Amino acid sequence: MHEYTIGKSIMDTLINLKKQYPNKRITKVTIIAGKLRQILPQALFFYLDILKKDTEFSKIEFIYKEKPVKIKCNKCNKISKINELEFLCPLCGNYDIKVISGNELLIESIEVEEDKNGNKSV
Amino acid sequence: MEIKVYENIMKANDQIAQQIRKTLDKHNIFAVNFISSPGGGKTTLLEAIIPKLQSKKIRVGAIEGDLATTNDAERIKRLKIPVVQINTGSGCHLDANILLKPVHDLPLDNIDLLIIENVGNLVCPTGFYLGENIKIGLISVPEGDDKPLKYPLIFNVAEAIILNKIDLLPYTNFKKEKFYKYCKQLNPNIKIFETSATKNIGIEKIVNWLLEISSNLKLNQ
Repeated sequence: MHEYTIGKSIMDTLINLKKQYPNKRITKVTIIAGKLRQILPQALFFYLDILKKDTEFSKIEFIYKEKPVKIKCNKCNKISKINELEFLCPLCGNYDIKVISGNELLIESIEVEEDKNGNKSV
Repeated sequence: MEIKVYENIMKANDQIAQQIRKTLDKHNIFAVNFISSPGGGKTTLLEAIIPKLQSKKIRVGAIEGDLATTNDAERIKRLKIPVVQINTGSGCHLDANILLKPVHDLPLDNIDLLIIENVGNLVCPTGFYLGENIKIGLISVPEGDDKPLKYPLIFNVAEAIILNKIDLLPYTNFKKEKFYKYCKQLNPNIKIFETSATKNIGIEKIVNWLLEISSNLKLNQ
């Protein structure tokens, strides 16, 4: 449901990023999303396809990487990967834990190439 | 050529939310982002809470988020507080950008506590910071005791959970012990309140807690 807004935020982020690389064309974008963000990749791709159409980003290929939920146990101090439905330390069974990853939402990297047409590439 | 950028996708939203935060701080306003499923009883609960806050001389303001209609804003307006309705159309949540202007439409000098009633939805609103001090999640008994497992994020980010419609407990197979266990698994420090907004049960406790937490936070600033 929130994939459209996230898609829109990705496009806005790209517009800003592009300013740092005025003579380059962005060809590939890798998105990282934590599992707790509850994003449906198919829905996100669907909206990104619509949003990029008729823009300078129309040819961009999007890659989606999901990050698992990781916790740090406040009792045994160990870090573990957990199933999103079991918020407890899988090693000692303690519920007093801190979620240390799984909430990410970022553009990890972009791939660029020389833009032979300058800024006019549409 | 690959370039690592690690650019936060929510940056644009978060920057506007920070602007809202600054405006609210300037006016010494404590803001609550109130999130639940549609039909959980958010507006009815506010109708029960707000008069009690008013009786304790707290000046309340509200922002009502809905896909369509001004029904909720009209209900809250009857309590004689400043209220702005936001209709998101097809948008399933409030984001900072959509909130920026309505916040400034409120008489901020005359508000101590701002309640932002988000669009009825347990998933999308949790991911968007609006500049609030705390998020409160509301779950109603008929929704089922496994809501924390199905929608973990709100339980993870909320300061408190309100379990509403507890007068319906005898008519459902809702197990409170299970619900509490799941809540604490997701957030060991979470506060849980039990209410029935229509039967006026548990309202005073929330009001007292809100007073306590908002004055603590104000003192910390």
